Amino acid sequence: MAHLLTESWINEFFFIAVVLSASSFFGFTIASRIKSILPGPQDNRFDQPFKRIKNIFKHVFAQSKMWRRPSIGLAHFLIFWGFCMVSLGTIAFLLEGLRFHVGWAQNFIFLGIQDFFTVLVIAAVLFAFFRRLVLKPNHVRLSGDALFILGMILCLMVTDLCIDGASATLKGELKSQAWASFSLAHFLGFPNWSPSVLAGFHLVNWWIHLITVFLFLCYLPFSKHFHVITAAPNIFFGTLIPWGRMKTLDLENSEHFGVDRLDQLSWKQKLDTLACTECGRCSDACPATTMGKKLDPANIIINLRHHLEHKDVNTSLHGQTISEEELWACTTCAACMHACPLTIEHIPAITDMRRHLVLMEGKMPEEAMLALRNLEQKGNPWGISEQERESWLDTQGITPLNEGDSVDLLFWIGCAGSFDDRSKKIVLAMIKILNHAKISFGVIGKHESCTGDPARRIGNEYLFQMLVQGNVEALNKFNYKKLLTICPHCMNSLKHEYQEFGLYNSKILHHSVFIKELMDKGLIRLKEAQASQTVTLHDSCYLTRYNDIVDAPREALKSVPGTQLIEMKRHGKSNFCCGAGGGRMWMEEDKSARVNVQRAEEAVQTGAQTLITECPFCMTMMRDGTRAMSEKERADPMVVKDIAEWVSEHLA
Amino acid sequence: MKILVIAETKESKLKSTALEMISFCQQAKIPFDLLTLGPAEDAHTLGAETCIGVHQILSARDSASLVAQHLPAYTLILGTASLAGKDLFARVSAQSMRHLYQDVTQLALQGETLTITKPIYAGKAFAKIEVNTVPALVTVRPNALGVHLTEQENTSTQTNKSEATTTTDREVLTKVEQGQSERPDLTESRVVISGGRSLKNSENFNILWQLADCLGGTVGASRAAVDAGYATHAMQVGQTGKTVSPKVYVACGISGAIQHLAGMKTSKHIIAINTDPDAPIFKIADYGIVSDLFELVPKLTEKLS
Ligand SMILES: Cc1cc2nc3c(=O)[nH]c(=O)nc-3n(C[C@H](O)[C@H](O)[C@H](O)COP(=O)(O)OP(=O)(O)OC[C@H]3O[C@@H](n4cnc5c(N)ncnc54)[C@H](O)[C@@H]3O)c2cc1C
Ligand code: SF4
Ligand code: SF4
Repeated sequence: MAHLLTESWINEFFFIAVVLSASSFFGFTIASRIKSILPGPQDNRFDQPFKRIKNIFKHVFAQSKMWRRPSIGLAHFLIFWGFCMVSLGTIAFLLEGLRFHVGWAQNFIFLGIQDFFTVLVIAAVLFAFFRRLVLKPNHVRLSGDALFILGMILCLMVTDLCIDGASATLKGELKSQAWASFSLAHFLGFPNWSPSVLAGFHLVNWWIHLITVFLFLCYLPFSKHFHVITAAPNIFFGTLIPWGRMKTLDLENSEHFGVDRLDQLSWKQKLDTLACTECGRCSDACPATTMGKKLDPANIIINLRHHLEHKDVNTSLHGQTISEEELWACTTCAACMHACPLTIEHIPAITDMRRHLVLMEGKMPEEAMLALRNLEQKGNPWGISEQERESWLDTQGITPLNEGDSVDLLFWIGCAGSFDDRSKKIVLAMIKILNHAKISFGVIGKHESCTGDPARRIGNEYLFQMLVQGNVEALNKFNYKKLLTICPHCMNSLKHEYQEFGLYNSKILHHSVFIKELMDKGLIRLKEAQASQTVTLHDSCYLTRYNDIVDAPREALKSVPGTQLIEMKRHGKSNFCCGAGGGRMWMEEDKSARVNVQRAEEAVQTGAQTLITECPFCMTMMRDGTRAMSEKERADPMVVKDIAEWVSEHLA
Repeated sequence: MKILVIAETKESKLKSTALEMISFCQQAKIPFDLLTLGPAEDAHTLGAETCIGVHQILSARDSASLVAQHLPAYTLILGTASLAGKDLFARVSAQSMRHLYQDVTQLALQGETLTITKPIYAGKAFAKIEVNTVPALVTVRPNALGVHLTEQENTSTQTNKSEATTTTDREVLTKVEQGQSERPDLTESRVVISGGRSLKNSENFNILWQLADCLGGTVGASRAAVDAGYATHAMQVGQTGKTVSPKVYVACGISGAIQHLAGMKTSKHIIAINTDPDAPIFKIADYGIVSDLFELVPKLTEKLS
């Protein structure tokens, strides 16, 4: 951006005054923001720097998550890159204002490229205006803040072109390489203006531009567009730990468990709140928000920020800022975290606050309390006698291993598989497949208890650790190479959370993956297709988003002759939760229409004959959901089957 | 040895749990004081004066600080392992920093030595404990001691009204209100007749009510029936509803999902009526009848009334 130096010292004096005061104001605000987020527990986010830099490339430079919505993704991409380019011009503009000579900024190639981006940004901003004011997508919150920011960006771009056009005309250097300012200059007829008028026009634009630059900078920290500054650090410091591994609490040496006040959230958790742009992508994906419950993940983050900005650090978050109802509505499905372009971590914030309620105040829904008591006393959430784990295996002619025995494959049956009649059928189907493939395996019967997943996610870390210790001790008494489970929740905990507590072996397989492996090895022979059968697959959140298991079950299903998979609109990593995770399986859902019914409707809409699940809890939810629907709309509920049942029914 | 019995009352009468503890003191031939938790006037009408061995009847509102104040005068404080009793004793124990033994199933006194038996590991085993802290705080499980009263006019009984001088209790029980219904409460009822989705509408639940009324019981429901609007949420039995454990539980047209079983599996006798012989409910039922409930239930009512 060429700067036509005006000789007046007043101009220069004001310029320096504006630059100095605005920069110090900005610096001061940033420093106080950093100071406000620092107090809190340790949270090391400086490990694995290369992975972190890679994330910067992926999420900042390539904006990978933004592209999931192609049109706005493109607009944002252009605004981002355009803004970066234009910022180079702004830097030159400021340097020249300080009487440095910036040669490259006068280069016509640079000017041309810059013009290109300036025009792109203008187009993108106009589109953003159109989207917010005319299209109005559901998740976008219409705010004056957003419009003000967009307005400022537009103003910067337009004044920039005017300045360039005017200054080039005045210097007699108006060249077509700087095509946008060139066209604008001709369009407005600059060459015909008297030099003094043009100089005045230039000066006015120059000042508007300067003031807008600094207004923008100083306003940023107070707006949701603070993300322009916080996004990159937030993404750099984003978690590299698997989402399925919750932070372990030190029960021996802590005085407080969970989060009651802001200083109990780590600095990164607070940085999250400053990074949120209120884009609403998380709310859009959230099953609780979708069903109209009080929980809205964006609101959790935004309300934490308001608390950070406006309340004393000693005031409790619980009650006014975050309500119990919101916290208990979360299924920990991670749709929010998957959706968030800024890699904000909603779930740890929610579960940390639950931990405070449960461990410090003993507050939780009554039903959750019952489930926890059952876990504590009987080792399973329904409170059924532990004897039954083994006695039903007995009736199936399966003898548990003796301590010290060795097997290749240890089949971890889990509570649902052991006690729930419907889930027992999944276990039997899996056993049929194992026998068919001539895979020998062992079970450990009464040595199993609940893995503790629901206890941990409800917030009772103490009970979780107690269950883990028991299970680790039990498992380490046997020699095995791989652990197989039909339950994504068992799998997730065993895989990600147990090593810390001393589980030797961590080769843990979900049955859908194992079935696929057996198929690949040619160990499974399937019947010829009789007729084409249509199925749809309900993904488990704990498989897709937590453990990256998306393709294996699909490929396994498609390998069954005659099976035709019809996908639901939301599937794979964007799947919609069944409503059972995060301990929700043990709580009543009476605050809104039910998540499982919504999901069952989506399954029915595919027109498929059978709904396939991969998790015993999804199974319960989908069965209940399809039945509740059938009461109103269908004569017979849609058939729901586990993937193991589907395959076992088609064995040759 | 001096014992204080904390007696629970209901409608101005001693509850049978209090009579159990009184019987225990009588059999051990130890004089004791009785503290009733309720309005002062009640003490006379309780019929407690007629029990041999009562020295003094104190009465007060439910107050942990009050019990804690009286504590030093006694060697043993006995109470009931009811919801209210366990709560009160926990608070007394915390305030006075004394050992507490909850949910005791046997008490034995030999000379000055007190031995108690209580379940541990969620009832998987029983611990026999010799108690040698004084005063000892003990709550006894209802029906554990049994009632064998020796009644006689007891002239030496005094009645005192006692008020706590200071109270640190944050909540004080002021009034107990009876539910409106004539019928027994779902969780306390000896007989529960439950219906599921198969009842098809709320009017059909009447056939269950009729059977329940004739057996002096009440009606429960599966969540599917509640969701469909045939029954209220207060009637839901199961994991996320009420936990019941009646003498007789009749499941009519309920498949027996584990979420339902979780709420009624401890019932003494389970009777299942279902058209599907493979319904899981039959696995835990003591008596299973494969039949259409719409035919069978009215017939049962007719036979029984
Ligand atoms: C988070 C969560 C919490 C839950 N909590 C509970 C809970 O607290 N309590 C609860 O009950 N459920 C609960 N459930 C629901 C549970 O999973 C089952 O869906 C529910 O118990 C089924 O109710 P049902 O037996 O009435 O219906 P169905 O399973 O549909 O069974 C109907 C039965 O009636 C039989 N039948 C049909 N017609 C007749 C006839 N004319 N005569 C006799 N029999 C007939 C059928 O053979 C069938 O067995 C919960 C589910 C979830 C996901
Ligand atoms: S984890 Fe799922 S339910 Fe919880 S806030 Fe995020 S999207 Fe909503
Ligand atoms: S948390 Fe992330 S996805 Fe949700 S509104 Fe904020 S920036 Fe958007």
